[in-house]
Amino acid sequence: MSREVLRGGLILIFLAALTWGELQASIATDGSIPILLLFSVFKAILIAYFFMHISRLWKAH
Amino acid sequence: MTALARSAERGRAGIWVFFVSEVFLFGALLSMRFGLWGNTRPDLDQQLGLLVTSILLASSFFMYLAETAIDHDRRIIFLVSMFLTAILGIAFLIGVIGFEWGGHLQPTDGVFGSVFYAMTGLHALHVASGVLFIATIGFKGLRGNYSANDHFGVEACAIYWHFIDVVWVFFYPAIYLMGTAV
Repeated sequence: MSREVLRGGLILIFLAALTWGELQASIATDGSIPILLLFSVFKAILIAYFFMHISRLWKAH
Repeated sequence: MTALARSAERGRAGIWVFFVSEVFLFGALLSMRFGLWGNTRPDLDQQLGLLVTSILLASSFFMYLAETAIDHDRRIIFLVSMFLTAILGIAFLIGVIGFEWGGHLQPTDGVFGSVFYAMTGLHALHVASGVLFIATIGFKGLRGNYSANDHFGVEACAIYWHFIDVVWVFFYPAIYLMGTAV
């Protein structure tokens, strides 16, 4: 279980870093929509790990 | 496949069908934002936006922890994580409804007000129902329900919560960051 918790924690750190980067990118680019959408897509992909981990759709019974 | 596994399988399929309908709903709100606001946005409290976003991301981690814990029959960690997830969900609601809604932007303030309240309002409604979902699952867990082999309720709750988080991942920049503040 500790390995799974570690992976989840790492994902949370990446998510926090991306959120901070998103805010900085917004300031630097005056709110560029394509760049900020890219950040959202990366964050959604990271959160998808939580979905994939918990969903038995990706796990053998 | 056992009857329990078959039942969970059907439940999972139902959840994903439900999410497809939700994607259309939230997608429509995002389209509305881009159509009406274009490359502009209202001047909102950036620190509060960052704070509520961080709270919701952290809550997703605790929900993940809760599901992982019950998957390993670690009941105490499961219950504590569910409790923390609910607390963070409530904190998010307080941040959005209690503080952001109490700011200078009102629902009657043209397209900025109407779109902002429609997006945050519908999302907050989902967060509130998610908190109720967590409370229900948490109470059932306290009464001894769920185990490593039988915890579809926890799984469904976790999927729902992560979905709400993903929606906010797109709503946060759309409301707070994209375009020029006017």
